[in-house]
Amino acid sequence: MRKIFICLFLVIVLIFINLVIKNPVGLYDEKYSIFIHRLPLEKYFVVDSVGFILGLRKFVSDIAWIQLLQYYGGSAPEEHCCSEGICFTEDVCHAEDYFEHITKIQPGKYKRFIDYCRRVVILDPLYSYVYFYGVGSLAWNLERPDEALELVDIGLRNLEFQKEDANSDYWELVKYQQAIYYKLGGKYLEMIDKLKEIVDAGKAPNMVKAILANLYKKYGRYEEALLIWEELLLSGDPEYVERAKKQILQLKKLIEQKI
Amino acid sequence: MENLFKISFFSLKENLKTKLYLVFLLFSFALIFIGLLLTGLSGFEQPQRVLLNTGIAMIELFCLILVLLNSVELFLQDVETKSIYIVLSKPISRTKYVLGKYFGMLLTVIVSIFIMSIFHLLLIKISKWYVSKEYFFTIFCIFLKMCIVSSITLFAVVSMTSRSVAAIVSTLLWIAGHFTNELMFIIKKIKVDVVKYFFKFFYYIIPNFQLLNLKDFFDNQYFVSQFSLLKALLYTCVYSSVFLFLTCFVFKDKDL
Repeated sequence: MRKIFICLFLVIVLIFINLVIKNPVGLYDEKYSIFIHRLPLEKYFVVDSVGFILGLRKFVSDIAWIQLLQYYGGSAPEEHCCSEGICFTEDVCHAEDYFEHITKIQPGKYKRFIDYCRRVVILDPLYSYVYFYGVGSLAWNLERPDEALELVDIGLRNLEFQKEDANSDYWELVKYQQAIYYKLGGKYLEMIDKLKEIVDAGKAPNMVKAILANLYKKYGRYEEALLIWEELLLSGDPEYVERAKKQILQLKKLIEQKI
Repeated sequence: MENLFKISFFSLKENLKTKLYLVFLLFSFALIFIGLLLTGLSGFEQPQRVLLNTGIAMIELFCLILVLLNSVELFLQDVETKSIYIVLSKPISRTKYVLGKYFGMLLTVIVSIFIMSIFHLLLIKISKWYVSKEYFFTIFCIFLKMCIVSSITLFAVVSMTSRSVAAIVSTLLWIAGHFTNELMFIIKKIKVDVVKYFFKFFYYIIPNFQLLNLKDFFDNQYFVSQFSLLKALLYTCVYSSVFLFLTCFVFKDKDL
């Protein structure tokens, strides 16, 4: 009898402590539940689930992030880059100056890019950089603003707790949303201004900076484009160093011609 | 008290002497180092985050394996080699023996966390990055989790006297403890009242490891500001005490 009472007492203690001390963070409330979102990439389901149940959510999200970069950096051979019904061969798609024209071609390429992004942010809903990178790529590189807006919505839902802070990633994402709406409305100059605001805030990925520089160049604002490419060159990012060198030379010539 | 210290330090020495410990420690170094290689794969996109998270995850994973295997092995080894009789034949109570083993395990965890953190910090330093004070809170929270897991494993091994069953029970509780919010989500979907109350009871009994999972949000100031180290400490103390009490309770009447 004594043993039963002791066990009962201990059970009550455990229930009491669990009722009193609730998760102070509330990070994994229903909004972030893995069951609601359903992991989007079936082939990684086991890895993601194992990481999740072992409490290594953030670590697995980093693996997912690297896989996203590899997917986006890879050739995606099953797809072609097409623009306005004209499809290009793979060598054209991957020509060195390909990224300069990337805003014009290849809607339909990297079809599962948004799924890769969704996978990362389901595993780590607070990973703001993925929203910035994903939205930037979808809206301006892959020409899929609808999907970009979908990712913005996910981000705004997940980062809602930052709403009070004007300098937070939440409001940074709102800027991306506004820029996309300007793009959809054909207001390109306003879109460029918004992108400038995003770049000036200092949280933008280098890819977004390159997009802005390309847009400046397209609209004849060579000096501003030059400044961004110089900044990218200084950053030392191997992805952009060579292109920055080329662009700087080109832009300097264009500025001279302009004068 | 002196006896308790002696058993704890003896247990620490025993833990550190095992080949298994050395192998796991080297393996964890290798895994933390893999974090550095992964940063290469992420290129210029968030490499610091990758290195930090990989290291922290590996420290926790290694500690978990260490606690599970050592807690199970050392107690049963004492019984099998009959060295437990030598200890208990001296004026040492069974409670002190259990507590000594437990604190010895915690000392081993502290030593391991210290060594691995130094190695991890070294890699971060080499990469010319830095860590904030939240990193150390996160490491401390890993230790708190291990305090609970160690007490649960000790209870499981003493009450079940089976290596595999004890390890499986502890692992399942570790998983369930990280799954509490999802468990609540499932509970809300259940329509049969009896099943619902059963799961609810289970939900309130198992340790909620998410409460101590600072590593999932240590880089977010908003959540860190809401995290209470005092509450986490209290939670750990209560859970560890309950399971240690149960272990002593079972061990007292156990025929060896």
